[in-house]
Amino acid sequence: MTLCLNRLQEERKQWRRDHPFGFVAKPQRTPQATLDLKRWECAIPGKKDTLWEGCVLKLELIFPDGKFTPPLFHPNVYPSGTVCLSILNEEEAWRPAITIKQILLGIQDLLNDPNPESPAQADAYNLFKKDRPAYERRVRQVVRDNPPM
Amino acid sequence: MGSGSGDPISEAHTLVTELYSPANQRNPTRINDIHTRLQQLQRGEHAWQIADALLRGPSVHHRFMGALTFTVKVNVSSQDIDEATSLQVFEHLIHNFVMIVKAGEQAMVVRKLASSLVTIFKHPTCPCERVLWQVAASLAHGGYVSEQQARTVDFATSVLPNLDTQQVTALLFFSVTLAEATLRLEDEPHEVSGPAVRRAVTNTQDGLLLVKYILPQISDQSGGDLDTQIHQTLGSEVMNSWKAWLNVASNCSLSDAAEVHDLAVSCGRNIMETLRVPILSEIAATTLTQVFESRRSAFDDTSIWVLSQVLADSIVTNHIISLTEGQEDSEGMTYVDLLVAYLSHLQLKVFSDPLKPENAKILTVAHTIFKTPGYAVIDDPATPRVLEFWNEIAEGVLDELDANDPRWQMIKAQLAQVVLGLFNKLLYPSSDELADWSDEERSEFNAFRHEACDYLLSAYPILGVELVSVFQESATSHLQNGDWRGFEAAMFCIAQLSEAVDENGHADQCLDAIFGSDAFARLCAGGETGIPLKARQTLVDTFGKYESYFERHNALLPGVLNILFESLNFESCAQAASRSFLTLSKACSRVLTSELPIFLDQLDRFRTKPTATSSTMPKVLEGIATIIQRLPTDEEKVQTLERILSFFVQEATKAQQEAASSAYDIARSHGHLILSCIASIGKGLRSDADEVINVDAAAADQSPYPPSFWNSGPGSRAQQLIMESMRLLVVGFPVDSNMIDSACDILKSGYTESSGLFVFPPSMTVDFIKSFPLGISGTDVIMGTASSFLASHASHFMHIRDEAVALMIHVAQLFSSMLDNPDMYDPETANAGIDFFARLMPKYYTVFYSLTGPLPSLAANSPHQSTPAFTVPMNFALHALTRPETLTLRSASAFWMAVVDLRGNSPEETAALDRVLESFIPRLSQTVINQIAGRCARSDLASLSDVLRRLIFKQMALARPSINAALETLDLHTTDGTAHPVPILSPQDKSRFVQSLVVARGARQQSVEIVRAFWLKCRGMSYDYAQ
Repeated sequence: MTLCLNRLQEERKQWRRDHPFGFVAKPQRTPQATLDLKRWECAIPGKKDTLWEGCVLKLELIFPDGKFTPPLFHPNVYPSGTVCLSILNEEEAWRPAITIKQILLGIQDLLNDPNPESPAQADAYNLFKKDRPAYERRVRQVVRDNPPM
Repeated sequence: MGSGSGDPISEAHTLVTELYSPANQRNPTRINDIHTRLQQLQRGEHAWQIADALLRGPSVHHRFMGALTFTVKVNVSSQDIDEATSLQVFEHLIHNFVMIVKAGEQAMVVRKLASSLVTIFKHPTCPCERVLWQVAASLAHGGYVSEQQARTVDFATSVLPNLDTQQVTALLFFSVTLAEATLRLEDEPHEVSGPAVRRAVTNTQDGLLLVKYILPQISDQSGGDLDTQIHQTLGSEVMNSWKAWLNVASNCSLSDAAEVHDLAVSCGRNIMETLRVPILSEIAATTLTQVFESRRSAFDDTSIWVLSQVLADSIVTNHIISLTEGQEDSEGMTYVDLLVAYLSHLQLKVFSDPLKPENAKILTVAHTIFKTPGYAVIDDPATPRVLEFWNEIAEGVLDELDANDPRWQMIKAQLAQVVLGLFNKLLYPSSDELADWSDEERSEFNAFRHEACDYLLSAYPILGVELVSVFQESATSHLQNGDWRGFEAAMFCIAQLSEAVDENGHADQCLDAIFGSDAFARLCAGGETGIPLKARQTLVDTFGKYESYFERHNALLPGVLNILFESLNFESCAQAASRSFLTLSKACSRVLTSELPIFLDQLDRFRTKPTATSSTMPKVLEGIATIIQRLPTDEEKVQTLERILSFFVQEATKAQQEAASSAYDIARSHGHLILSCIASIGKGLRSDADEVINVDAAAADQSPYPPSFWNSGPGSRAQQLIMESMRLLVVGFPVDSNMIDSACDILKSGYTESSGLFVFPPSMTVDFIKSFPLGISGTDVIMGTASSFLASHASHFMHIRDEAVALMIHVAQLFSSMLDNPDMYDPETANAGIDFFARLMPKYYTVFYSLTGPLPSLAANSPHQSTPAFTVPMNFALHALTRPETLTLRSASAFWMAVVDLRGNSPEETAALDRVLESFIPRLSQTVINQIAGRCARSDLASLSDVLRRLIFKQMALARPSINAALETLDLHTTDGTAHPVPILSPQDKSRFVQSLVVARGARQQSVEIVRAFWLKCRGMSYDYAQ
């Protein structure tokens, strides 16, 4: 347990020193105002020159699961908001050494490059497959509803 | 250009001359050709001779290329080099290295030859170990010396003192190259690089001894009689060398680890002394900062003491102070980085009791950094750096100290001082200044402001409400004086602190001082037109963050909401204003009812503005509806609602006309805005959390749609208005998925209530759902609405039996069309339809199984003519288990789990359910076993395993023979070494599989693992991720 917390403490320091532009990642506070290093509040900006440019999406990271709050309209996000991404899946590509930075950048990439092999919600998946212009309109609405801070 | 037929040595010579000839520099094709040919020669049979000849060439380019050719040749001939050859090459290269250094060769050639020497040293057949010692001895001797001979003379005390500056510099080049190559070898597979790494790390101590030998010579101000350029080169190389060998010492296991560690730490202290040497100080500061960030163990208490002395010395502080005074100082930032690295290394230890004098000086400098002129990040990189340290301290204090610790008060004072220093750094730039910033700069500055507020939140538990009062005083005085920048910055901080003080009311007095002031009252009255947009934006955002405060101080609300409405007219504020309006309306709806007439007038003005968009308008309407819901009588509610809804019917008609007049896209977004606004009204009307109607508790014998104020009384006109708007838009835009989404939201608004504006006749939902053809996008949302509709009537489902039957028949007909016409198959309809049945099964199974007649209106040749209607969805769900679409397969699994789980309420019902299961379980078992025997995708195994688990756990008697029979029919083969087919599964494998599932007793994870192992065995182990 201590090893895990030390590792997360180190993550916190590394993130402070160097993190990708526009991203936010900070541990949540407990009611006693100390930091809960296992639950992080994160924000992911939409990548430049993509449909998602201009938005900042809030994500809760409870290691190693990432959950959009509120749930995001996206083919690889479950209706609960949980992200379906191989590097977050303990049975697939997740490794303890994966950093918050890698996770958040991975999710940012996934936004504009959904994986049709792993649909997680019917709503976005079906629109993505069937009616791309309608899918893009919905994404643009998501972008408008989630402006930067 | 030569083609290889002439003398290769002359050709190589000519090629190098041409490669650097100014005449060829603008001819990339020619340069490319030369490169290609040169590479051929460097890899060819004459490469050794070419390398030698070029190394003796007339220009530095020739000699560089000669050194490079050795590296290329060693690499390409790696397989052919045996121990004798490697020793021969090694000796030859050392000899050449000594000679070129003696000849005063230029650095680039010496470095390249050092690199070639390291390349041959790394070769697996090279037997040498203490190569640094050997090269040093050879340099001192003036020619090649064997390793054995070299080791007879002490490296540090005898060899190094005999080297001149040029030789020492060359040895350093070699040392750095060797250390860096050793680190790279560490990343290669151990079986390939292991022996080379083992030999290379034996040089770690020598590498550090070399550093230790040189540092004192360059540490005095003049550097002895060294030339400035050489002094700098030596300094830079010696520090690179320290860093590189330090990394080797940390990453590799060494036999003399303790000794090496002490030596490395001691070198670190010597480097700290070079901070006092102007010519070396910047590179020393950079090196130390990097090592602080990566190798904290490189410093001991003495090192820290030495560094604190230097950092507190005016030789360093003057650089930082001149930076904070806005003077050009290229080194200033390097020292800020080192200062922060030092403080971050010590963390809370820096606050000793009493504070050490040198640390007191360092902390004073750290506070001074906040005075650096310009905007943080944009013109002032120092402030964000030092804030990182204070953030770490504020976060760490609560975990590591308690309030009785003697250091608590000292740290508290320091943290408070940071707050005061930070405030000016939070001032937002004026619009003129902002116009010159790029988008990225704006974002970076905003990110800094949030970092700063993160600090405030971390410091709040230590500083308490005094922290808020600092900003309150600032906000009040700036508001009074009309200093909007100051006001904005103070309100920004107060807004971010809401997380800590809104709910508990700790800062209410501070907030009273701002929101109860005369100046704020003037702002509320709308008389203040000079407030800039940024200040307005921050203010409206602050309102939304203090919902609990305004709930406690509701007398302030009318004025606050007035500002919010006013702010809706400004594009940059509208989003935040609508969000805050909704938050406050929800929190304080009871006290706002008397304000409704004003809000409705404001709404009338707002809805025609360009800022009334799908991001703002629905929030405002939801807020107003929340307040309407609090009106005491339905009559009062209907009056205001009719006023709002009449407008939407007009707008819906307009959108329909726009669509007809070819402005389809505009009409569509207009229509979508209308429906989402109506849906938001529905959301607002049901948002009364403490009066939620429990649909399950509703009287079971009550009609689902009893006559009420809203459907047959005075409220019916308002309901008609909604239905009319929906009709106009759904007809006008029949298959638009956004429109479908919003229409479904409107329908769902009434499902959780027994009576109200949004409680429509059940037939409306049924007609709406049946109106959509097979295959449109949005089917999943439509079917989700059908499921919600049935769920809302589950407690009295017999009252809506006809509607339930109509929906089931409708979906079953869609399924039969897809079964009969495979080219009409639509995965979305399949998934959504099966999901619909899976959800209704637990409550509506009696209605479902009562569909014993055939489906109506089937084609004459349909195979379903003679089968009961309920079997169509079941057959379709069986088929869906074989589909490649994950979502469909997942829904079908959920459907079968629901079917298997069903238990009748009477023996007759149970017997009837068992009869259905008896006819389907054999086919279900066969389908699932076929799928998990390697046919399905790996990602579908969990869903299929759930069905199998449920079958075995809940219907063991029926399921086990069927599963055994299904396994029996599996006939999977592979081929052996002689190409003969052999069965993949033995009878024992099959029975062991069933037995394991039985033993798992329905445990999910265990069952999934058993099924996954079975799938892997059938499909081949190469699909295992673990491999």
